[in-house]
Amino acid sequence: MAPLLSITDLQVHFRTPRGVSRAVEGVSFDVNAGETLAIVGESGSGKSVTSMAVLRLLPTKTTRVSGSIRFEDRELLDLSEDEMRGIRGNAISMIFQEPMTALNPVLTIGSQIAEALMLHQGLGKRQALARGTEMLDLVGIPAAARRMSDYPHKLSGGMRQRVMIAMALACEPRLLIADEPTTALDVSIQAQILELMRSLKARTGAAVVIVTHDLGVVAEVADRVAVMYAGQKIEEASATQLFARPHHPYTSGLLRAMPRLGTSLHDPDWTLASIPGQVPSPFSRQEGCAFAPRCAKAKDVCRRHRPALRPAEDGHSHACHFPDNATGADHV
Amino acid sequence: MGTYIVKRILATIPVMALVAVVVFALLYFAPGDPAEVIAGDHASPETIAAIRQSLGLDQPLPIRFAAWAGQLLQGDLGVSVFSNIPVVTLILQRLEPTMSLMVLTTLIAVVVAVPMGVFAASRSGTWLDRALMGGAVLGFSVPVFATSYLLAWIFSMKLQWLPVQGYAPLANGVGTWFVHLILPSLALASVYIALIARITRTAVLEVLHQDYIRTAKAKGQGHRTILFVHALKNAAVPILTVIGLGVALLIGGAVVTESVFAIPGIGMLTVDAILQRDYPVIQGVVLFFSFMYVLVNLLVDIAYTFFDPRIEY
Ligand SMILES: Nc1ncnc2c1ncn2[C@@H]1O[C@H](COP(=O)(O)OP(=O)(O)O)[C@@H](O)[C@H]1O
Ligand code: SF4
Ligand SMILES: [Mg+2]
Repeated sequence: MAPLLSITDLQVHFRTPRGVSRAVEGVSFDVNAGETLAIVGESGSGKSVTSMAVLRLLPTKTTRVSGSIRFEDRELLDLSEDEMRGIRGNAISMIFQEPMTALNPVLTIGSQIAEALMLHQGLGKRQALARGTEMLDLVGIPAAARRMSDYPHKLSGGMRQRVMIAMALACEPRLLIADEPTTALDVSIQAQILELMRSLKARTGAAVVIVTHDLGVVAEVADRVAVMYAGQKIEEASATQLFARPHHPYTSGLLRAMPRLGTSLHDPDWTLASIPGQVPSPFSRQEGCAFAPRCAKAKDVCRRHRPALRPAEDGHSHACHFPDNATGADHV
Repeated sequence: MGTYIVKRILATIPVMALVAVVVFALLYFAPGDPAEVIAGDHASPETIAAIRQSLGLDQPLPIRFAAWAGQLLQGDLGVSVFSNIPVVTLILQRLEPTMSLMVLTTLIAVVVAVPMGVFAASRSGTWLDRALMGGAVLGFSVPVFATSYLLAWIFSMKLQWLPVQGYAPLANGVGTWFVHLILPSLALASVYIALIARITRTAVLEVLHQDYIRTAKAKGQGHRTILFVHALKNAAVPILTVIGLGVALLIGGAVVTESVFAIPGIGMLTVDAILQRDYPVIQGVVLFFSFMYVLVNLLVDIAYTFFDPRIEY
């Protein structure tokens, strides 16, 4: 069966006053119907840009997107803006990192949930509000009917993220893209939101792309994991494989330095202690392996030749000249 | 909400009191002696002294202020030195033209300027944005009397579409009322439009960078709804604020426009009173305009709560 979403050689470049920022440089991955793919990587590796490119939410004037993004037999990069609007919030929905700022402060929760239902399902205001109330109930918001006429500032961060989830799932999308949905929340709330996403996913059968820098989140929800570094996908594997036998030294480093679930890659002490060095600037990408300056195993060939992404066992793939945990089969 | 409104109303009391003190002081320290004005050029010192006494001008300052403020509180603004008509009556007689001019001007300004600012923001950096904002700068820099004469010359003299001057009361029909008022309102609105459009553009532009705009887009919402619902409602507070503050411009402009178009309103009353040094009338109109300004800004404060639920009640 063809994948639900298929991204091939995605490149995203931004024109900025400082020059061209090569935020995403040739990323490819598939998402099958009903599966959960996690995209992990340090801050600035291009995860958000990749996920926003799918819904074409990047600023049109300054962004150049190339490659292919196929969704259910349609090339999203070729659709008109009107056709794209029919997909957004309908077949593909998105949840963002910051629940505190992602909701419009001057519109009621109810009208914000009703919006997508009225746009995509042709519901009248009353029906949309009734359906919205059901959705709030479903995501576990107490006194849902009363909450509909409240404004976002009355809700906590966790509750707002529940509202975002209700909004995103209102039209029963086939794909949900969640960009760091728990990062801004307290640890105890994080677990609740993940649990909610998991149960709703089981119920609706939507595929999920979850962007995170939290390996704990990956371990809890992901079927498959794509690891990004400096705008490239450097490793992909099933979640079990990746945790058991990481091939890319960057992934190994991330895992080694993960003391317990819930530790964030954004924690500055943690990152500095674990992998010395910095993420390369998107303004000047060097030749060879982007990770070479920070890699303990780097040799001359690494600095001269960028390793291509190559398949290993069982759908595992990596981009490294000298992979960790390699079996003989990896090098054919 | 009720308490918020009551609080705002109470907050205007010290403001109005201060205005009263300033208005009184202004005329107290103004050059020239009202008694001499009234007495005329060839009056004897005795006559002037008598007039001073009758006006209470020989009393010490605090007593004069107390007497004046006491009358004021009873709605008595004194009597015109020239016509002997109570100032309140004079103002009421001329209230309709001035209020008509201001309300129509405000309507035109808001209806034109807000969409103009929103479009400029949504096309920021393009030629459309530059053209709209360039027009705004022009509208702001050309004095109201110049715009007034230009419009009158084109539409009344050359094209002869509209009456040149004068005012037709509402009671005679909305049609004639409107054709008499449209040119002065447009002339007066040009500055106001420029002001509101610029603030709208800035406020909307800032809002368009917010996360919730991206959320609305991710829902599949259209450009227009995003601009005029999601963005504009968030930009409402600075826009309302400038509408309120702009009333000050409107007041100054009304004095000019009423003179150019011969509209018998409070602006004309003001000019005449100043030329004749009719002190009670001057005090009366200044107080009236100040009161109007405070009242409009009170309404603006109250209007905030309809647009922004986060305003503290
Ligand atoms: N609109 C934009 N204009 C210019 N550069 C951008 C824009 N959005 C993101 N970038 C740059 O793209 C790179 C990747 O960012 P992002 O995808 O947000 O990283 P993350 O993996 O942390 O989500 C960063 O260097 C960021 O500065
Ligand atoms: S290619 Fe070389 S530098 Fe890059 S990760 Fe592999 S070993 Fe390290
Ligand atoms: Mg991000």
